[in-house]
Amino acid sequence: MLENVGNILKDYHKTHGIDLSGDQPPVKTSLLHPYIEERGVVDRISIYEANIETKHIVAKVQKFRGETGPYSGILDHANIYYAKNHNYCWRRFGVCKEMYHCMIDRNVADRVATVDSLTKLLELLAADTTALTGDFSPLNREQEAELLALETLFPVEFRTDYLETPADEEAVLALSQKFRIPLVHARLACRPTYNQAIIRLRGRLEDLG
Amino acid sequence: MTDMTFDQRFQKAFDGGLADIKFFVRREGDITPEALMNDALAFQTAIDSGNVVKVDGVD
Repeated sequence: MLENVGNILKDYHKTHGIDLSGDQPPVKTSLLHPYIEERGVVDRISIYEANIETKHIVAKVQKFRGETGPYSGILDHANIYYAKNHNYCWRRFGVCKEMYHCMIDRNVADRVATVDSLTKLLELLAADTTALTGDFSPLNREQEAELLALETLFPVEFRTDYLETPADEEAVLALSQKFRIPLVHARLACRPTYNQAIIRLRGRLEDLG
Repeated sequence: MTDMTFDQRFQKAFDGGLADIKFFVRREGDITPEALMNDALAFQTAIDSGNVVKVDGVD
């Protein structure tokens, strides 16, 4: 799936540019969803702000089947919701991560469509399982989507200084502010072992300068 | 509608056409399944009661 990130970034950059010079986030979530829709399993993605305060869940996506248009037959659509109390970087990251579910949740086994599977997913998310478990596909997709969001909002093309040496905390903070992502994700992205693994998986980097 | 339990509210959503649901969790401090269920229920209650506003994105 990481190869899709390269293609999405290339297409995004061709149309909108990835500008590091201004105050705006280099990759905007409001411009991103068409690139995911065209590669995904959902025809239309909508984003909503929920007027609630949550403690741990920043965002969620819900997918529906069965909306019928006059010429289009059966459509799938997805609604992404975020809780307004979380800060800008967390909300952005959450929306981007949930968008990727509209691309990667391709099999029936990836879906959470019963109360029992929903309860199981929440139990596993609370347990903070960091390794891909292999036996509960929705959790694996959760972890993959988070990785894809990180690689989209803070592309490895801008982290090549940290292939051998980790960024110091001051640099990590500056990068999290530049790319408007949570500090914890910027810290992960500036680890050499992580970067080396991502470059191996990406295979080819894009010219995003 | 406000008194529906977690199971009742989500069963109603699945019965109404919900085909998949996923979450983004902010990992700070201890997290319990009950806390996540409370957050998930808060989202669903907001959606069911129209306490949401459509936006373009977060930028």
